[in-house]
Amino acid sequence: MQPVCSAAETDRPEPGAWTASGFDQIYRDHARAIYYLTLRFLGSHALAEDATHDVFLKAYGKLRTFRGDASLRTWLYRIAVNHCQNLLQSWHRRHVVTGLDDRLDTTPSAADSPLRVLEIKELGQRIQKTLESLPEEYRLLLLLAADEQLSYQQIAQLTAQSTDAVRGKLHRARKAFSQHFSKTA
Amino acid sequence: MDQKPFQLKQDQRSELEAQQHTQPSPPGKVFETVEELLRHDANQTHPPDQLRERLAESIQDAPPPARSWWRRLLGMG
Repeated sequence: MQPVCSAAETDRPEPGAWTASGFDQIYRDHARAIYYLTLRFLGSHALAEDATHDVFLKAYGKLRTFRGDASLRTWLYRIAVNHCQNLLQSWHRRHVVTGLDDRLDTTPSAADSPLRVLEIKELGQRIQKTLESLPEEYRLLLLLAADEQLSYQQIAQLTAQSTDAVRGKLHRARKAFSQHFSKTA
Repeated sequence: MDQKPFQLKQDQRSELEAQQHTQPSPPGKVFETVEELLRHDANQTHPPDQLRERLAESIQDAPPPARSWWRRLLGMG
């Protein structure tokens, strides 16, 4: 049976602030979700690693100002989304949404069609390619909606819009995703 | 004589059923929704192991978390 931690990991003393603050548990509970969001938002493992590090470091600095109005996951997502959007803005990689909805709506029922995947090995690359072809807002809404811990209401709060707007945009986002995904096969 | 067409139909049905049973199901995996596909992808994705250690070190070097304005006002820790 494989050991859970290597000897080097277990022998190394934990930094005090990390364990004393209880932040280790917060990291364990939410790191994967934040890492996945940043990975698919920014498009590379190296960028996602840096972004996840920065998000949790910011969260640590602001932890005492967390008022508990939102769930911790939502609060972390807010920091992550702001962080990613700032990065994307600085890289001039923002997409223009205007006019895209009309173009996508011409294909019927694509949003409800099952997605058949033949080669699981390259699935991550196909998903990344598809997400990158979508407007930034659609990408974000799909990634947030995929997290079962978030309700539509929480997504609406997180993205500063009404729940109805989230539903409508998600419908169009699914349709756009399905169209682009089939082209990546 | 009347039995034959019926027998033929029955044979055809049996043959068809046999074919259906022996035909392999289409390969791959089907995801009913985009969210389901993304959840599958998320479950396969893990942050690198060294990230936790890197973050712990950064936190160790970072100043202590700021107190909220109302805690400062009330002189709470």
